[in-house]
Amino acid sequence: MKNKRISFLLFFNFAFFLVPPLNAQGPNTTSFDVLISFFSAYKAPYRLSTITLPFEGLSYNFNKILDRSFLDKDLKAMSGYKQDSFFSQKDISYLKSQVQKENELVRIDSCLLLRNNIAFIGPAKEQNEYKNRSGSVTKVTQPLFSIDGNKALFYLERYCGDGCGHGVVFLMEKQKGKWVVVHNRKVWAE
Amino acid sequence: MRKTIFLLLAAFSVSLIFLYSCRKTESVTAATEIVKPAFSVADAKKWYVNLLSGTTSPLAKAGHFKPLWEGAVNSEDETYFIVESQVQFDHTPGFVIHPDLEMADTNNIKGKTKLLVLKSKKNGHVQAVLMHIVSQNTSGSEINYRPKGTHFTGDIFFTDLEGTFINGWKYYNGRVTEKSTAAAPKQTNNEVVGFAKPEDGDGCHRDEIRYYEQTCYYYTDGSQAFCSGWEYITSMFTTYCPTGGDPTDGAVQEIYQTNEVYSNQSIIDSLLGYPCAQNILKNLPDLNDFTDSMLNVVFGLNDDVDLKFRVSTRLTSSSQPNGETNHLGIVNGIHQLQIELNPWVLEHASQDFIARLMMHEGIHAMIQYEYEKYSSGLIDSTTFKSLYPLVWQYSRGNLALAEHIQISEAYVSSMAHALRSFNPALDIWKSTALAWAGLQDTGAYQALQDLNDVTDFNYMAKFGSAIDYETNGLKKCN
Repeated sequence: MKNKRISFLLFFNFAFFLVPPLNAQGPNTTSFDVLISFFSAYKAPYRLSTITLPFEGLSYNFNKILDRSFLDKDLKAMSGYKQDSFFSQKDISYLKSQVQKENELVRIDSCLLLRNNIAFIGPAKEQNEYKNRSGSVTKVTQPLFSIDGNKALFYLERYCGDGCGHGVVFLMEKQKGKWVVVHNRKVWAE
Repeated sequence: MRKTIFLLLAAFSVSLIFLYSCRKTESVTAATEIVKPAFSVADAKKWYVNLLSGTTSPLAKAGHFKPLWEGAVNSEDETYFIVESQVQFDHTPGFVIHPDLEMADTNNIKGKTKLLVLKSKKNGHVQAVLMHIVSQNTSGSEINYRPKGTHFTGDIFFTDLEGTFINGWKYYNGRVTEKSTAAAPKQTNNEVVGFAKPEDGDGCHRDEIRYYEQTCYYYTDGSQAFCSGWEYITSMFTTYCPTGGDPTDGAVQEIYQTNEVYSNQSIIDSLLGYPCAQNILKNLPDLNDFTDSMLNVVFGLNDDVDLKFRVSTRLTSSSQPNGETNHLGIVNGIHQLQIELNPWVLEHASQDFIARLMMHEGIHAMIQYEYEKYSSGLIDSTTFKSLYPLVWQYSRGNLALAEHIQISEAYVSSMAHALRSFNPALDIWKSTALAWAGLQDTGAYQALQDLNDVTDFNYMAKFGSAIDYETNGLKKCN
């Protein structure tokens, strides 16, 4: 009987370690890493005192831009990337397979945001920013990932008051364990 | 001896056969070279794909259908080289065309829509339009842009990719009997979709074009499986008048009218229906400093730029962007640039705000022109860097933001000077404030000491009343 209990406890403890803790490795955490890396690097040119990150999600029709000829345009000339294409054709298909999840929320931990010196604003403040003539709102989509998980793409829209705004697709790559922006493609700009 | 002669003759005959065969092959090759069209299906497809990849706006326009290039055909008329393609729609359009004020036969919805890619023989400009065929006696799928056949009876009308009416023709047994031209898509109070109504003449009448959609499902080979019922979408009204049966009739007209002000290049001004905005555009090249400096690139001097100003049908409300500039691609060495302007702004904003908007978007066009030249290897990085050092510095991070940083650092004062030339009633502060509009995403704007005043002034210059404009020395359109 005692042996059975020990066996059970051993099994239980072993099984416990098999269950991942909340917010451990998973697509949302990776998405978060991508976005935090991006915003940390881009705070200065964006003057990011306020950002709206998609608690409510930014919906975007990725099918319009998931095309290698669009994404790879100027890749070498402007970004110095050594390969002709950022994503392989298989990656593109894989990216498309993730599009159906585009409305899935990126779970952002506001405490982590604050630790990274990025302020987070919720929907109410966001509305105030729209009303404010010199206000600004930045929104991003859920990133989409390559098959190996080392490349990502997301879409960002920024409204910076009347007559000011743009939409850009950012291509990011994990280099030496850090996510870095490799290339960007302007989708629209005012 | 006989045997030798026979062998010689046989050898000679075989030689002749080979020689003849060789000549035949050569003539086939030569013939292939001769018939190669000046504007091929591949050219049209490449242009169209560029149109889609360059921007969101054409995507939004054209994303609802897919050209079937495999079956595309070439033709030409006096004005255009033409590539004509069948299209597969997400929602297939259908039409009922009937005299206004009479009951429409809603049980007889029909129509066949094709994509035309037209290259002007005059200036090389390429444009895409939709040809809608409503045949009385057939499905319409057998009708081509050229020729249309001798038995066709029905309607053919043309729209741009967004559905804006260009012109329409009525046929009876292959002959044009009536035409309608309406180039200004400006909404009026008494028309659902208000076209510029031609002067009514003898025999003219007004028709309603009722637009329907149905959803069709296709097999993997592209053939149609089945379609849903028709759903009424909207109506367009236009006036048809009798024609003299001119054989050149029945063609799509040029959507854009060449503006003679820019005689040394093909700036194409489609701000039709907005004479105030057209007048501002015409005056821009005469503004001191600005003309002498960079805007000459897009407004006058460069023959390899084809710039179009368009009234946007996508950006139409006051809360949407005031304007958007896109490089649509390079066709036969000519850069296709398009500036879309929000009609709400053209109707309500002050002239000074509109002039500022045209300059701002013009600079975007100029930067994009040089950027494309660099990225396609026409100029080297040193040249590009010397032209736009800030675009070079920031474009790796965010090209859209980089362009605004360049404008904020290098063009605000020259824009302000040009605006004072446009309207001498503006003082330096007001003209400079206007020049800052749209640059709020830059650090330089955020660092302005009078940031709130600048922001408020620009808000007034766009949304103000006639009294506001007058009080502040701004000019009002209309």
